[in-house]
Amino acid sequence: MSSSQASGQCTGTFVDYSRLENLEDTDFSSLIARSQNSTTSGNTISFAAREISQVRSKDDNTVCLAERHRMREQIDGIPVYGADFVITTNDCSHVTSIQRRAVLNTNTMASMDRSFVRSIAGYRVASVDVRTGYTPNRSEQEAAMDLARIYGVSTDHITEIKLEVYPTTKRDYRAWIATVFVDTVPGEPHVYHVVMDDDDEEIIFQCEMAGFHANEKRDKKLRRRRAQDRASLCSIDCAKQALLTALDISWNPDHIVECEVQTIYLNNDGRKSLCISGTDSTGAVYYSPGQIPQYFWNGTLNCGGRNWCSSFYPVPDCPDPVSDVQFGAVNYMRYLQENLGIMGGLSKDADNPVYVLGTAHYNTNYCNAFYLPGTHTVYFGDCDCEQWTPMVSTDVVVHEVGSDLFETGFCRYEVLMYIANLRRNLFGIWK
Amino acid sequence: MRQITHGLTSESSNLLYFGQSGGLNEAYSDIMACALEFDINDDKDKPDFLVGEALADLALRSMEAPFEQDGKSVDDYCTFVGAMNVHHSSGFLNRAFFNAVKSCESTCGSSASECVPLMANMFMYTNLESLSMLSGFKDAAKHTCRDVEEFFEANSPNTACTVDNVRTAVVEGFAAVGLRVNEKNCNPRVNCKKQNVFVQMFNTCSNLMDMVKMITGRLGELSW
Repeated sequence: MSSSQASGQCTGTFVDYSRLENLEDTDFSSLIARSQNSTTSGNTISFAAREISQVRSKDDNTVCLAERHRMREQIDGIPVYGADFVITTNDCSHVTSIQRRAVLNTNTMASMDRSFVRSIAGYRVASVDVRTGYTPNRSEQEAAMDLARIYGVSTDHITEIKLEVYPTTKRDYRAWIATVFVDTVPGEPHVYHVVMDDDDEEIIFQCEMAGFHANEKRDKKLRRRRAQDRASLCSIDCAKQALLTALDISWNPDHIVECEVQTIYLNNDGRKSLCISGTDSTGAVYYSPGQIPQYFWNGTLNCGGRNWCSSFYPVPDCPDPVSDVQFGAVNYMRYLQENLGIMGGLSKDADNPVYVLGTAHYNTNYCNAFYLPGTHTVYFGDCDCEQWTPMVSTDVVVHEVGSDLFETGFCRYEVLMYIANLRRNLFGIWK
Repeated sequence: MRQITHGLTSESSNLLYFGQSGGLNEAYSDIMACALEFDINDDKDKPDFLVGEALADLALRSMEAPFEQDGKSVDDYCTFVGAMNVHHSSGFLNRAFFNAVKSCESTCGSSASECVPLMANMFMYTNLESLSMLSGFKDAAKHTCRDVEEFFEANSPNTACTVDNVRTAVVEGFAAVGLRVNEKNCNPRVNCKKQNVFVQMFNTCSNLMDMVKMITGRLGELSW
């Protein structure tokens, strides 16, 4: 996007939270039974298992390993981009959280009705409605050829191509998603994550990976995470970015309210932050966290009493590492804003959105922190909770968030077709 | 105050994650982490020049004495080897930063709590405004020195230090890691006790090999 579109104001893209929500239930079996054979608008919704991971947690007085079951939602057999269904249980198979896309009563985080998500019986699935249905116009090979033509490369430069439903609040698409390697200019290779509308071959979404590196690890004994596991997580988090929707929002820094700080991976229900409000052209009100380094916490997970935690927590005892992550990152944003004039801590230019997704409790006994270039995502392991506490001290959080902000892996959004003329937001988004 | 006009995404240095650029890349994150510690001043994580010290008995890295801390990190320009881990080559800039802070304290009569954010912002300004993907140690030294005046114009830092004080601090910081920077034209010159020609040749080859690997061999690792 050209610099002439920069406004310097807090206007722009807003992440739509309405499709992702935590649910709570104790009836795991009946939920799965219903989920596996539910329909919406005459289309069959199913769930394909993706992974089961374990996370060390503490439930009441019993230290146990929680399990996190992750499934990918499908409609008529086509995966829905970003619509993972994540169920977390403790070792007694007690469901501690269920997270999937759902409809909120309003489109704001601050005013959503929490009672709605507390009952499985009452939850409503968000509409994923592709206007032209779920039958693709072209084969995978044909889609690869189209992408190759668009990017001026041969088809062997098109990898990992797959058909998915691409839901945004703008509209939902039946889309071909692929990684495209472009080397047409000698010495200037580019790798793009691309989403192409199956209906008209338009590129809906393009994200450039400027670099990639493996995370470095200190202790081989704690190297549990394999590359392919990280890869699957990467795709999930990239998928979340699909929920980006372009809206012109005028932010009102004087209107500060309390709002939810979301996560779709962890049972962090109840974490709150102070947010500012904004309105779009229709008068709809939106809220965004990120500017105010203050938050409230009411979580349940911890690391056997061995958490590192900041002195600044408003609650006694050691809270969840997620709060540490947020504390460090939000303060970093404030610091950048105050010292280097970087608005919202995330960008100096309204044309260039940068946000960070923070994930704590990464994997089991994973003793490191890292970021994944191109995903705006930083991960923090809990370590062993014995020799090492979770990797969420302020300096580590700032290091990793800084890595994402300043280093090689920036994802340059060029949602070419639909929001090219809209400015983008600058706020940190925490899930 | 001059508005900063470049976006982080497109205009940050995008330092590549290998060789000297990778070491700079890592160090800039460490430097900002240090600055935040001083800014927050948490009782449970007192400000210092260590990384990760609050998590266990032993810190991950030291900016003051990188090699002494882990036995692997570089302490100066001439101990850098091209193929080394970027978390170890970060020692070069980390140590330059530490010494720049110390110089600031002595030349400006300021405390660490004033000099750390001042120098961190100075270093980061260069990362944002002047470095490119393949910038190396000499580039960092040269541009940090050159950017001092512009940094003051752009950010109007609230400090007792003058432009000359900060430039001197930058020069002394890099001098401590084997680069003698001319204060007038900011050109750096290697000033190591022992400069190993073979190491320098190896560095060059390693960087080239890394670059080739990055360009040609990464597709298989890209997963999304």
